[in-house]
Amino acid sequence: MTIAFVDLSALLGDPLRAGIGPQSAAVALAALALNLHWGWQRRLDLGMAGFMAAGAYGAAITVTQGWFGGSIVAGIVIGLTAAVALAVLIGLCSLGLPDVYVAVVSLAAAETLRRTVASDEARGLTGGLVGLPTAADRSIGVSLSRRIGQDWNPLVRTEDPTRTYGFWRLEFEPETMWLVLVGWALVIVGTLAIWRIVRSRALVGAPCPDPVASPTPGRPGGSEQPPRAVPWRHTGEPWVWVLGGAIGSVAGIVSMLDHGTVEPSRFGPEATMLVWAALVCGGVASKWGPAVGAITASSILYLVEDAVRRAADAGWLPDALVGTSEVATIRPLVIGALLVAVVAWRPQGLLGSAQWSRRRSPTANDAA
Amino acid sequence: MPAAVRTSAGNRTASRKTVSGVERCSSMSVRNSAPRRSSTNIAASWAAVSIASVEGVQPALVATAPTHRWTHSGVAATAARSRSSAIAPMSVEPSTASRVRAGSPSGSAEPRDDAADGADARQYPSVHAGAAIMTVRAGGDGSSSPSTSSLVATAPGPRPIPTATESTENGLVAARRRAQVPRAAVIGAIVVALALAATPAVFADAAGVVPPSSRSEEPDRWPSQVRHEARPADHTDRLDGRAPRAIATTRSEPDAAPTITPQAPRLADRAARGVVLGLLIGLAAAGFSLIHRTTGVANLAHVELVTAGAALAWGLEALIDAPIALVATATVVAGGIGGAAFARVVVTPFQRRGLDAGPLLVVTLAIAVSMRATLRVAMGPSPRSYVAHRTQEPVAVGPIELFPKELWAAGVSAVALTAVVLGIAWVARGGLGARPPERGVRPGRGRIVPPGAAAWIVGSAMAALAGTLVGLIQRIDVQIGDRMAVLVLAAVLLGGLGSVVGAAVGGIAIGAVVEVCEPWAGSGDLIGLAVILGALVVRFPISARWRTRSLGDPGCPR
Repeated sequence: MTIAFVDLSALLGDPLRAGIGPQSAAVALAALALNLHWGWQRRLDLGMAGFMAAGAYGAAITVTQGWFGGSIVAGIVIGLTAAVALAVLIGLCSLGLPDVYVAVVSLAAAETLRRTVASDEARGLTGGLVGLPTAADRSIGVSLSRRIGQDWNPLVRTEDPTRTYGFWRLEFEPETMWLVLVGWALVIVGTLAIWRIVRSRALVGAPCPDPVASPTPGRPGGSEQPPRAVPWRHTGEPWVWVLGGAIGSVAGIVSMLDHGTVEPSRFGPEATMLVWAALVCGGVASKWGPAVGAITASSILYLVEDAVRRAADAGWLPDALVGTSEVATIRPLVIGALLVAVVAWRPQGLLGSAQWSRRRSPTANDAA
Repeated sequence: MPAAVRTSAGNRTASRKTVSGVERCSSMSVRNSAPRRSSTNIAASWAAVSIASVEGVQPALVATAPTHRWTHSGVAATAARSRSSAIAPMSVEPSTASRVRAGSPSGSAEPRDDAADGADARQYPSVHAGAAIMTVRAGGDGSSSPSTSSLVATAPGPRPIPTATESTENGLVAARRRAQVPRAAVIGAIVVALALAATPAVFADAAGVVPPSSRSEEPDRWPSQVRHEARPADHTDRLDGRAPRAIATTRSEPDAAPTITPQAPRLADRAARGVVLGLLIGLAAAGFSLIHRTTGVANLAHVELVTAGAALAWGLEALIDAPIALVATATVVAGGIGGAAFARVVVTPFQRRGLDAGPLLVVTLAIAVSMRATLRVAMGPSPRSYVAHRTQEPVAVGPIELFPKELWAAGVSAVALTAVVLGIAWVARGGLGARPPERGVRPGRGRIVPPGAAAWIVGSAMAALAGTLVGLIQRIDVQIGDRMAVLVLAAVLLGGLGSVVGAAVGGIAIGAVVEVCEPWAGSGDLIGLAVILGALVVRFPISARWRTRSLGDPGCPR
């Protein structure tokens, strides 16, 4: 009977709160990068979590090892550099090849990075499975987000440090609110910048976003792109690939700043799949698709997880199926199901066009 | 298909009839030229090859240009899904050429559309200037089909229409034929690579140096961790699936006898164990390759099927207390059924909707992630092992010591691999009611089992068998797939995507290298990644000569 009286504002407000939280902003940033890779360039990137991990671990290692004075700014620079190096590595080996190679290489690179970072050999640098900061450091309150989240946070300098920001169910702590503002500002700036790149035709072979307004001479109506005439190395494509990797690392850094820690388990394939789900939810190759999709996917994810958690708490689920302690483990299942469902039933997402559901043309064999 | 394959010289000769109206109306069909094999053309092709080399593109890659560009009209997407390239050496072999010339319905020969080509030439004059050869645009749909040259076409897309051309071999093929690497070089390269990888181990072995990682603690990597009896099942799950070294050392009493000899396993042992491991990797990779070659689907959930196989075998063994052989048989059958169901329920509907091969990859990875989550809940955190054969005395085979179960695992997987390869060849010759492809008849008709379904069944059964055998020599936990994923992908790419034999050989090589280098390189992931990157940069898959046939054209997914 408790369900009958469930608070409607909680039902709507809490998922929305998750949808605009810093984690969602990080997903939106990563989806932005993925949109650059897949949506605009048609490069099948299954290693977005690798870029995020490179950025987050680059920053975290720099801070905890005290390189360059342990400054977080230096850390962010190092993280960006690491992600760019990873992108260059993947791109050099796979960018001229069919989809499946790009996918396999990026996936393998991301998985290798995650497992290497989590390995015992790298524990001195990366903290192994526990991540950074190390368990001992965490117990004395070391957090990677202190500098940006508190020292540089204008919201905590007000007269009332306990004040929260927001309204309704969307109240945030000052630290979280600051990250929300920064994260979504980055998303907006990134979206506009990428849109500018797309409109500028720097991406050779990308779809013309406005085919009627600016058809290129020789392209009838701009509706069909002619076959690419230039080898990929001579186009802007490598730069765009690397730019996507860098944006992905920013996403990882935002996520790291929200948690205050980095852990290898956050950068598994399910992280990549969450980014894909966000992108597909919002609409592949659409301007605001990544942002909208990240809000949507995070909200849906929260809703489902919350429902399962409540059901498990209420004892509706048999313990053998999903115990209360195991609710978190179904998160990848929900992500995968969400992605598959969206691809199956609404491949164009919320804002995109039906690129995923392009129907095959009839062939002679079909007729026969 | 916006695959712009353009050859410069003489490609306007021998213009062929456009057979298919569908193809004609696609302004983006593959433009493939069929120069007559004159000396001029050969010279031109050599020039093209040299330029290709300068450009950093292997000539082998040239003739296969898949591609896909953004197409807003459905028609232009037509050709995009058809054959084309995996890594290239597979698609431009002499045998390919001869087969294509003989009028086989496969191959990269596409009717040309001269008008469209001319229009293109006007728009992009620079491309046609000089000996600019090709544009390999390996785009969105390039992965849909692994090869152009099997006995039958492979992609679930529109198949090329049999053309009546007398020759579709272009100059690049001829050039490639000359440039082909002899098999001895392939074998030699593998041997040299193995030797190079093993060199530090050899020196260390001779000097009696104990490898760093096994110095103080037990070597906890796989499959060396099988030398001891089952671990206590009460430790927490570890993300990387390794044995809990830190936990074990912190809470084990100091006087506990070590379960393993403290010194490093000898090089020969490691190599032998690496071959065992490699056979299992090769088994899984060959299944992956078989499915990809036949149906054009790269199933990234394949390694999760390995995990599922191990879990199922463990469950069966614990449940009914059957001998391992029976359990393995049941698991293989279940794996085949599961693979067919997976294809039927998940893959085929998406293919029928026209989902490209690229997005399909994403879908399979999403399913892999979901499968892993499900398996994690189902298997629980604690690692397990079979009840039978938990402790065994190693047997000495010459200088190496292996457990009988390792020998069994190696033998069974070797037999299975051989059987699959021979079976594929038999089916391709007409076994099981398969007829060689005829013109105008949809390939695959008349089969007892449609080729696509057969590939899914056999490939998934191979994965399940690999899982069962992995369970024999390792801990059984949810991380089996995690540990194997990169290595399996590396084996597939080293062998050449779509080659069953290549994947098997690549798996053995990778297993040996990983296990031999294990004390120095840590877990095999870095080696696997290096192999993947190296195989793509060098573009030297093992299967350049050891081609295998596919199970046939799956036909349109029904």
